[in-house]
Amino acid sequence: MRTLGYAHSEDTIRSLGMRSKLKLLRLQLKAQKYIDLLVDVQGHQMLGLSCFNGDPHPGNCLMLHDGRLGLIDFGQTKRITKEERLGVAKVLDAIGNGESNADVAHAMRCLGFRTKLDSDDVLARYAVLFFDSDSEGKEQGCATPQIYFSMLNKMDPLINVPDVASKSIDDSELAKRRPFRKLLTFSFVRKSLWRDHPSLSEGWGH
Amino acid sequence: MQDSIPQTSVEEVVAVVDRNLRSELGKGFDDVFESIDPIALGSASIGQVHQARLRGSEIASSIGQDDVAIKVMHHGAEDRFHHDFRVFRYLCKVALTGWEPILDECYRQIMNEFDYRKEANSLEEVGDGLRRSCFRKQIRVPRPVKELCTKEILVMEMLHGEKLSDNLEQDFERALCGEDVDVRELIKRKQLGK
Repeated sequence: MRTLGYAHSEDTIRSLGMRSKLKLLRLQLKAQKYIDLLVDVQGHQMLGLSCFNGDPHPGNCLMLHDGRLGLIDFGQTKRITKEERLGVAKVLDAIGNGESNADVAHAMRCLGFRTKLDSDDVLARYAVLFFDSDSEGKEQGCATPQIYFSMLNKMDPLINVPDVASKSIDDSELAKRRPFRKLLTFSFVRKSLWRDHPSLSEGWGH
Repeated sequence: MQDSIPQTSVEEVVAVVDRNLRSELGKGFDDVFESIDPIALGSASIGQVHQARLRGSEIASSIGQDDVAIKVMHHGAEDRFHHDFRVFRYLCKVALTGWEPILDECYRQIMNEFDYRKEANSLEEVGDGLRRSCFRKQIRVPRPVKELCTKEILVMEMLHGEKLSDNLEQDFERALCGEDVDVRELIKRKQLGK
């Protein structure tokens, strides 16, 4: 059997036969379908119910014999009030719609985030790190989200993190698993689910 | 639930279940369960999960099946966590200044894990919510058997299947079965983005 040597996984996949590539493409579509479903269900828990799983990693998802997905291990759940749900939704909306740093920072302040210098720019960066991805940290040369977080903390220290937000960053498992990283923005901005959700729509408004 | 932590023996597990049932329900393990699988389905730092079969039909009919999953807390898990967290918090004060609010919330959250009755409530609340939603035909959350749940044991409907990540990895291996490639290594590198 051929070992990969120093080859990058993408190069190895490019070197495969056409039949294998087609099978992988089909598998990718299948995996994407499940990821979309899990993200939507997680989003429904967070913004549609008052309780959500705070530890949604792949080991807690089962492929059941009846074709459904099973969600297990609700040891780390978080309760979320209607006001908190609305606050999170507004931050996601601001990030996902590419609004200005000032608007994202405003949504973060409404949710309860506070920094020492009250910088719009840094608050907007915290928003992306907490609720979207750590890709900007990588662009800045930070190997891990933790290093990027420390860098932001040096620029403008966080002095208050609302309880509702802390579950989005404290799980190292979540940070390691790529498909789940863009958990929040991916689903809600793509579908704007909360705008139509009866429990939130009445509180919506800019 | 991960499966990388050494398992507690089934005898010890049965003893914990028996003690909890006797103190809270006045019934022993054999009064409630017909059998338990000696090999755990998974074991993590706080507890481990076994498949078991209920004795009698009353509870079984309430969840529509007689096989259940029992999650049992490891002996001394809570004390070990308190100790480890104290050390971790001290280290973070030095190495990760500014993380205190997150650590405090983390502590509160993890402490919830040491009372399985809270997890039973969450299973019920999220499960009921999803069963009422448009996801009911695509998603299942195990129903807890709340009358058998205590601080240290959680009894719930057994879901039959395998980890989604394992299922996808097996598909990946099957897709490349004709290729002269170390598939396990390829999966590992792909996951690491290398």
